[in-house]
Amino acid sequence: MGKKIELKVNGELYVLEVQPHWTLAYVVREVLGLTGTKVGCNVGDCGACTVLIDGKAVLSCLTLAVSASGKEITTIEGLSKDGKLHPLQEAFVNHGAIQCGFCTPGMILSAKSLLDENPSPSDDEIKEAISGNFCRCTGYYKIVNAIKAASKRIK
Amino acid sequence: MIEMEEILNFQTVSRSLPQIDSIKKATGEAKYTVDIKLPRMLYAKVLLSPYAHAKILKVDKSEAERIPGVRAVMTFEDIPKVKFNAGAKFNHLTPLPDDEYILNDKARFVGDRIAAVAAESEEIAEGALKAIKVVYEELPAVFDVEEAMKDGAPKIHEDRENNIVAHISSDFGDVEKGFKEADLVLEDEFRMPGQQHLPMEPHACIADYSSDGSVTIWSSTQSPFQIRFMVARIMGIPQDKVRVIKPYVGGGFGGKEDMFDEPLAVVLSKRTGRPVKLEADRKRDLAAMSRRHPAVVRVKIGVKKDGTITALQLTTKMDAGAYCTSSPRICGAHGGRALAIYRLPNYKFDGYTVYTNTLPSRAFRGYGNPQMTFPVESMLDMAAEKLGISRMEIRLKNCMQAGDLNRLTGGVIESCGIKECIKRGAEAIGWNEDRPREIGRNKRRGMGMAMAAHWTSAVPRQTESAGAVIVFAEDGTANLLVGASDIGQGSDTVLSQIAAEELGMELKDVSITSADTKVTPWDAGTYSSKVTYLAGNTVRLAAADAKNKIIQKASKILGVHPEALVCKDKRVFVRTNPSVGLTFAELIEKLRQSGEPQIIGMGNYGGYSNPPTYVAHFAEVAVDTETGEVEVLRYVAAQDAGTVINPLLMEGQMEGGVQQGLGYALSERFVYDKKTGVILNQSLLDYSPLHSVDMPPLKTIIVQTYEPTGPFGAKGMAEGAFNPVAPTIASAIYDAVGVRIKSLPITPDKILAGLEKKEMR
Repeated sequence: MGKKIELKVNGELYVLEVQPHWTLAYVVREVLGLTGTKVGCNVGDCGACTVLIDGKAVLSCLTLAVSASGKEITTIEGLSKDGKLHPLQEAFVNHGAIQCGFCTPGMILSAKSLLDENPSPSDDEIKEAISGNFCRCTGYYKIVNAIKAASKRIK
Repeated sequence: MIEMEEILNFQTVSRSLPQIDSIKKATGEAKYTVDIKLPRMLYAKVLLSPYAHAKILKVDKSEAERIPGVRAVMTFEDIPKVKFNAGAKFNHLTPLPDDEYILNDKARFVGDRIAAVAAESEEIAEGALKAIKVVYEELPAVFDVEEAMKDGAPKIHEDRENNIVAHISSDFGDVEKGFKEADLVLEDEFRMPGQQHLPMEPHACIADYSSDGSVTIWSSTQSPFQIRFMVARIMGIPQDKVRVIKPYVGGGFGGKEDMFDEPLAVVLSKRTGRPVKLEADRKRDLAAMSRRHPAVVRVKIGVKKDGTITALQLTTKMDAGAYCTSSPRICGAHGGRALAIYRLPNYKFDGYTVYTNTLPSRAFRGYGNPQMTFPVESMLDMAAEKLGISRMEIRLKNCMQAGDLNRLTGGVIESCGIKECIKRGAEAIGWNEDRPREIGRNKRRGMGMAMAAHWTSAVPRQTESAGAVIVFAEDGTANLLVGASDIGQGSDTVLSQIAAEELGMELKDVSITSADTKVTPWDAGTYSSKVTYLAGNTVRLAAADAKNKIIQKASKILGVHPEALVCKDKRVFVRTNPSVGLTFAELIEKLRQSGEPQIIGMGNYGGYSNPPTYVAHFAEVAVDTETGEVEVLRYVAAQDAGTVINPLLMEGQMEGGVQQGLGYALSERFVYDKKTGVILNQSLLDYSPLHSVDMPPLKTIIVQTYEPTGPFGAKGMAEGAFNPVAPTIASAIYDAVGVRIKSLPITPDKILAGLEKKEMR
């Protein structure tokens, strides 16, 4: 039995019929084709599927799509504006914080959620904010540097 | 040190540039295999054996086939009866044993592929798996490498006595003589566990079989040409009919070097006439696909009073798991690793690779090196203590230097920065500073060091070549075609830098098309830390070929001697009079008008040399004597990789190497149910890799040398960054609390047991 929901994703309104057990990650990726949101474990362990719901970082693989109805969702595709990268995206690029890139979208959105709340985080606060986002390539050092640099630019 | 950058005046090489595809990755535009969706695509799932060792008596798939949306159910009965080895890369002179099928007729580990379903959705496919009825007859199983070698142990493959896949031995000099000459002989045993690669993108592939007998495969792989080779063999079709495309890959670390589900997706696609996607979920990826070889390593070392090594003997038992894959090669490489770092007059190695009923072991960053480095470095520490010399002194006494014999190739070690790595690393950590041992209540501080080397490629054991082609667009920009796979480490960037440097172009004017078997020249795959070196040399040759053609043509058009011409910024001109020249675009247009051949640069490089990268690591730790907890307070990693093509990317490899190495040293392991062989920690969190909050402060030090055989002086480096981490930590723990841990990971219980034993003495 499908259920009708309204999702505002990256500023665009979608009226969708979804199954009650479909996760937001599934709907974003498979129904809307926004594959920038990655699924690394599908059980909430890795953080790759992180999106923003009403500005807060949320694991979309643990969120039912129906529960996100009526809310504003930001995926990685919604972060750059008019072809201009968000300062976090730019910092991730320039600081070499991206290797394979699979954790990057979730990592950037966790960082955005942090900076929206705390514009001048310490290194420890940054590490804490991304502690649910697993990365196997980088050792996190350049990621922390990038978030720090972006925080200075956004201010 | 000489700054080679200044001497050679590089434009693009030796500069910290972001990965050329990082904008696409930062915006979510980069498409990985898991992101690809084709029209009418089906989703496949694999039925995995719940038993570690079992005969399959009967499979009834009729109920599964009746489920709406199920388009194919396949078992052993339905597949090509071609046995293969998933680690085979090409027609080797010494082939690896073929010991598995796409779907197996006997289960040899928990997670073995028994049946597969293709359906309209993943959900339907998963439901259908549950409807397949398999009658198993459980067989006695063995999970330990030493148990498996005993007489009477369960036989996992029919043709192998005592489950031994291969016994590899090598030696030079006379170890017995060497031990006699020694003032001190030590012998001990070390145990290392399996380790999971944990790439963020799980193994995934899509196959699209066409009625004309050709097939296109998209795969999250390190080795597209290996997949082409194997799929063609299994399906009995020519290699030119198999196109393997490597999209963006979400990490590999060796875990995507072998072939996995690709031929299974191909047979399902052939059966259904539709594209089939087969993506492993994290649980399967973690517990049933791949791991580093667990190993038991016995080391005997002889040393003189001054610390000089007189003989080294290693006897290794490596756990191949249920299928051979490339285990004998990894074991052989493991045996040769010590030769790259220490001057050894007498050496003997015996390595056994052994089947057990556990998940198959495969290549993983280090390729046998960590299983040698942890034991040998620990033994050097032990010898130094007994001799009353410092840990640094014993290493400096025995380490390789430029001009030494390269035991692997018979040539000479031309570049070696190990002493500089040790010197600068020691300075950075404050090796000689006297700091208080006690930190607060129950905590003791200690410092450790270890070093390692790693060969760049598998030459000469395996001759590897790589090809590259450069073609130009009308505006003078270039497209580089290379077979090497960028799996996130940044080889597309590094290879583009090398091409740009040789052609005097800016990086933005060079684009790259890599790892598509239909489009790019052949490449053995991304492994052995060899892409920068081997494919880099290849790309440089291709670029030089293009440049030569440009200059020859321009020489005729301009009426000047070729040697008077240079290329820079998409222009060829007279060195002493830059106003006389042609832009690449003008030259290309003139060639087109006169009907002359296009500028196409070609390069091929078959490795003959194999220069090692050298690494020294230092750590300061605090050990809690009440809880056994280890905190890494500071870490320093110093490495020589010749000319560094891209320092930013090299730092990234060094940092990631330390992260994976600290996991190997302190936390990562599989916990098995000893009765059933089921892995109990099948989730990412339970497996315990390191997260952001677990990382210590780290200083990376790049020691620049110049390797004459490498492209612009470069060597490989990525695996070397991992190798010395575990012994560095073990060395620091011993320094802190006097407990020598001889097995990984070093968990608090082992430290507490060691402390207790020490107290009883």
